[in-house]
Amino acid sequence: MDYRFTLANERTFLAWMRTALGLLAGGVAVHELVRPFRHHGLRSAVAMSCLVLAAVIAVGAYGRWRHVQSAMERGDRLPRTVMVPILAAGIAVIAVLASVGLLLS
Amino acid sequence: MTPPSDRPVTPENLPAAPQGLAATPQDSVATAQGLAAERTALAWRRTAIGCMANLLLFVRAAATSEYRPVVILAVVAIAALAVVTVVCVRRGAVLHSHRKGNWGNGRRSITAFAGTISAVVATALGIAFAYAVSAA
Repeated sequence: MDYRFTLANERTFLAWMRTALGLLAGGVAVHELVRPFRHHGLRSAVAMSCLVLAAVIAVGAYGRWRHVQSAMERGDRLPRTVMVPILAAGIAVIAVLASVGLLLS
Repeated sequence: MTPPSDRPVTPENLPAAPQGLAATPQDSVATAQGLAAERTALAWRRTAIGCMANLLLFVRAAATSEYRPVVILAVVAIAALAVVTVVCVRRGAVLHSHRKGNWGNGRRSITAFAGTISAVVATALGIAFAYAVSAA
């Protein structure tokens, strides 16, 4: 077993976890720092979307690490991932919600 | 100036390759693995520092918020930071040990880390949900 690949898998997991941590911080920051939103519901929606996406990414990163690890141990091809489209779509939704909130404020 | 040796020139008595330059494919793989271990240890530290910044934000939020249940989040965040620190230090020690080829796959560290961060996110979600319900 070549350690370069297991260590790369570990670093990829850590990079996904940093993404989740960024979303977590974003959710808290939106809730704590953004006062001028007149629509509290929209502000909560942005914060909640960040937190839900952070949860999905954190759990998904672990599952992804395990799948890649077992595929490498068996010598199979690497499994496909749905994490990238989930992250892209989630961030797009958050950006749209935040833009609407800013326009309405 | 050294006098010319009368020994025949063979691979054995050629001067050694300078340190850091890979001499054989095996050395090259070993160096690449050592560098990968170093990068992984740095990634752990970077992630732990990110956690620290994040969880301090939670503690600050708890200190300034009038909504009392946020204190639970601060307690969970402090406990999580302790776990993350221990995991990062232990994994870093394994990755910095020069028992090459014996770094393991980090399963325990990764499971503990993912579990801890998931617990923090779940707590944050629960409290945000409770707040949204109480505000509505």
